[in-house]
Amino acid sequence: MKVEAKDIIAIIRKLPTPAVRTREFVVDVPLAEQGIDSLDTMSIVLELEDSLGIRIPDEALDKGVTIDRLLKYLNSH
Amino acid sequence: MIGVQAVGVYIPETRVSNYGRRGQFDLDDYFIEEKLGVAQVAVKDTSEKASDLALHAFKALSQKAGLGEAAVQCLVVVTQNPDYNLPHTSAIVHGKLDLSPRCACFDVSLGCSGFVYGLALIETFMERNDFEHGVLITADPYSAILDHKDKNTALLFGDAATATLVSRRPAFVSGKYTFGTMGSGSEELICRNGVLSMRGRSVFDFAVRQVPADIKLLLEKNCAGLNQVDRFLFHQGSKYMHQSIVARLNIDPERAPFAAREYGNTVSSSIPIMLEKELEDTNVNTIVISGFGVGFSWASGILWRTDRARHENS
Repeated sequence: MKVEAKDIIAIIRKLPTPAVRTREFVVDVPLAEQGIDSLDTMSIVLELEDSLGIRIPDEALDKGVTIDRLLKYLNSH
Repeated sequence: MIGVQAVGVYIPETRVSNYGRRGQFDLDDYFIEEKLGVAQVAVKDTSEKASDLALHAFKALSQKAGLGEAAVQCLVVVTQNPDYNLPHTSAIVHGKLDLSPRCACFDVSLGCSGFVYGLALIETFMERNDFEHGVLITADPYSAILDHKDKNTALLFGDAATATLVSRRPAFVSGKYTFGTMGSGSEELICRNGVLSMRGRSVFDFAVRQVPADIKLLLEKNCAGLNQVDRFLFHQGSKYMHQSIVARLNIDPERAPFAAREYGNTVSSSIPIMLEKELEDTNVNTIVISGFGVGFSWASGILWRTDRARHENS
């Protein structure tokens, strides 16, 4: 199943962090610069892992991780 | 019929504010309030050990329930930070309280799942041996094993102890419990050479995956539904983890309080600290408790208010 940016953004909209539920996201800017901290990133990854049945390693989640980079990883594994 | 009659709580008065550590750890107020959910942590005196905290909690219970030392037939202490490797801390508490020589004492080495495991254990032990009064103590002073420069742990854990009276005059009785272990995660939250370390992502993944599934299994085992539960008392890991579990279960956050803001994550004491308050609230008749953490280990239970308790409080 090909994952798209809208799938990740839909997960972001459900995070327990109200501030990120309404803002617009840019796919090639680090999530950390768009109000998504490391805890939110863990939540996003957990949802992706559970829905896709894969494991995303810590190395793929450094501070510079973007939606684009996540998509590239997900769609190549 | 054996169950929980009363809970005594001891939280040391000394606090360390996380607001005072904003510079050290590059924190903002939002992170403190909404992610950690812990504004300050309770810290014991450095000379105090687990048995000292246990003693305070026992005295609080004794005053509340009118429990005399001679009546205690068994004493169970849940701790992973005992006074010494040996003897067991429950024997030290026994000595300090001058309990009866016929009082059975043993320790349970579990962390955040310890209260639920301990309750299941003491109920069964008492039932099998026709005991009238037993006390379950939780006392796990983490301040002794924290690296105070470690952001992952130093901002989160607080000291406390609780003492739960289990008797044949219960306010709440339990149903069937659920238990689980994932030993592959044993190194993710570990104390090596006297210092605690925690891999946050692993603990988060474990808790957010396992706990909602376990709650569903628990309710199924007890022929109950999510909507029949008045309170969900989850171990208070962090506010964000707590909210994530609540969201996955799709339950009203008001039924699942996060109460650790003023004292921190108190390990096995987190659930009985909240339970003490719920015992007084006669609108609360069904409680789910769920502890999870070190091991990884988890356990959940369901508690029902007894008719006796309803009548005594009405």
